[in-house]
Amino acid sequence: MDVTPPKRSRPRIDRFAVFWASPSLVWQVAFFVAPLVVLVWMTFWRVKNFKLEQDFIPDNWIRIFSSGFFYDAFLYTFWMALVAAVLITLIAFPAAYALAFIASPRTRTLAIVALITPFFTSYLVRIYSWQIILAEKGIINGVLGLAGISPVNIIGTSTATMVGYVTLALPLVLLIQLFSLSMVDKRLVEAAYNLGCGPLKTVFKVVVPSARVGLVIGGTFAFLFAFGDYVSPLFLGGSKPPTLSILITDQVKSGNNWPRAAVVAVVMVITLMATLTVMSAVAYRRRGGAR
Amino acid sequence: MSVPIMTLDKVRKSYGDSVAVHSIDLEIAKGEFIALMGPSGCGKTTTLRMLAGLDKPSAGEIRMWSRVMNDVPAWERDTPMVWQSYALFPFLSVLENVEFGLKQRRTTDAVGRRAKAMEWLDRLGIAGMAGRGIDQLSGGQRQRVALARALALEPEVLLLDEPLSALDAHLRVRMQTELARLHGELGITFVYVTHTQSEAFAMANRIVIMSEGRVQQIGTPQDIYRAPATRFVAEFIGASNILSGTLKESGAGGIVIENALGRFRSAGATGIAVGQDAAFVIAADKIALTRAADPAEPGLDAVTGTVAAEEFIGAVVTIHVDLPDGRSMFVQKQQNEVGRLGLARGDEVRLAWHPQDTFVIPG
Ligand SMILES: Nc1ncnc2c1ncn2[C@@H]1O[C@H](COP(=O)(O)OP(=O)(O)O)[C@@H](O)[C@H]1O
Ligand SMILES: [Mg+2]
Repeated sequence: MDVTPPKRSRPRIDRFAVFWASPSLVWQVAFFVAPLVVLVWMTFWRVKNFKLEQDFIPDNWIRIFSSGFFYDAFLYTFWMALVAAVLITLIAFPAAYALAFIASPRTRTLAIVALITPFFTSYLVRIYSWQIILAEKGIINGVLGLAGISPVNIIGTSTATMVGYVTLALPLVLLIQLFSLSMVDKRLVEAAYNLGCGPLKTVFKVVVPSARVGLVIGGTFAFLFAFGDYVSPLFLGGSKPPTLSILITDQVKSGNNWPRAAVVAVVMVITLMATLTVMSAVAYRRRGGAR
Repeated sequence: MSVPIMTLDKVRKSYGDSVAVHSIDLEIAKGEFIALMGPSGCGKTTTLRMLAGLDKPSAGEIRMWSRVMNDVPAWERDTPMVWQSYALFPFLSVLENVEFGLKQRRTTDAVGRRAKAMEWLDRLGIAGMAGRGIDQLSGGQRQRVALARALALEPEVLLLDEPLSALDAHLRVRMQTELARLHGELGITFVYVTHTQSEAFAMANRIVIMSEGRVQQIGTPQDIYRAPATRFVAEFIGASNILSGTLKESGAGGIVIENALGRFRSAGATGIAVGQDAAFVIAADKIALTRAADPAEPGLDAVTGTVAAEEFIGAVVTIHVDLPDGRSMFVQKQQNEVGRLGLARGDEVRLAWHPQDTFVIPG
């Protein structure tokens, strides 16, 4: 009876797999790794008379890391992305849950189409329409004015930036959540009911843990989108306070300082990779196991 | 029977136009081990799910003691289930799975809960697995966790849906013994769904045979085995020969059925009118087998035929005999009895039986 647990055998890397994996590996090397190497290299160049010169000096790193505005921008960007991840995950979940568990197959299909459509419309166009809605004399304030409420200042604030982030990432997060919730074993939900666990509690005790991978990956995508976005902080947030993406363009625009911009970019890439690593570990963490 | 712990009163379940369960009447007594048996798709799971409150009857009433349960949601009931697929929570450890139901009850604190869960794991022989994840268990171990999770609630009724079907034959027999023992020790009512005869006959006090959403027969394993009520049950159990014919006489002297093979007597009464189709049923192990040339025993009904095949299962031999009109019958005997006869394929044999051992079902 006491069968020892099956050892997870390491998947054998065979030639067939290598053959089929090679195109995507080549793609990754050509369009991700190579530019990254160049980017890192560029952080050690110098700018003289607004002209880029190859070199190997640490000055750019020292300069960026000794300036207070960099830390402010980093913390602000990180915080905004974190809030966006949590907020978007929370906004998406009830809708994804309703679509996965309550909606008819027809409604679900329609919703999926509606969620994919935004990917084919320009993000910039959607942001412009938010400008119109949120503007000082925009639609929201117009409605508030009719109700006799004094206008609120939304455009040019972090709130407006956040609206942009939600616009950007919500459809994808909702789709990821919907797919992972659709895969939840309905029998586990019934098993929970059968053991005396009510419907609301079952959502948190069974559905959420079952869909953990999708929920974490969805939130992580929201973070990545928000952390790297340039359009929302510029057009809706009015660049104040600046995010790291704004900082990059500032470095380039004022003084053509590509190496310092590269330093900021490298910091962003490292942050994103670290976040991705940590969050995948969280998503795929195994429960139970020898204790 | 005093007040049944569970009652199904003309319970029906339909999905659109298709009817999964037609109109079931069933009373389950406290402490019983009752098996719902029938071929796949006959509505066993649907019936069990209605008992658990996971499906709502389309008509009829389900009562627990005298309380009508139709509108009581599943999570407010006390009828834990052991699922065919186990339905264990993969994101929880073995111990946490067993604690899950206890947590919802909030009858004890964390310490008491843990102690209770450990006690049940221990009782089912898997205390050593408490910290493991579900994916680190074998099928048999999962089965035990599923049982512990349900039994830890110490319910009045335990529902089991083909719990052993995913286990290999050896383990299945062991678990059968263990389930029967648990049932005896706990005094809990077991409602056990299976399509396997051996499981039902080995464990149940009472068996409900279902077919196409209808109850065919309810009775003790003895009743079902010896006196199948319908042709379906007789064929499903497969332990008896069914010879159809026309009912010729029915009265104080018993029943006579006639077919191409002759006239056959049967004891007992029947609601079938003279002249209608009927069949008589004779259990395979109630038939005497002799060579056709041997003298016939007086007072028995008999047919003759030729040996077509022999099958050995353990010490029991099943002999298939072809009859002159193209039908066939089978006889079950201990190997040593048959050995004496020294039969070979094609040998002429006589099958004889006491009319009292037969009974009549509608044709
Ligand atoms: N949710 C459902 N929707 C439609 N038909 C169903 C559903 N559940 C069961 N059925 C049908 O009801 C019948 C009985 O099913 P079930 O109770 O699962 O049978 P069993 O457990 O005896 O194999 C089957 O014909 C099945 O197709
Ligand atoms: Mg079933």
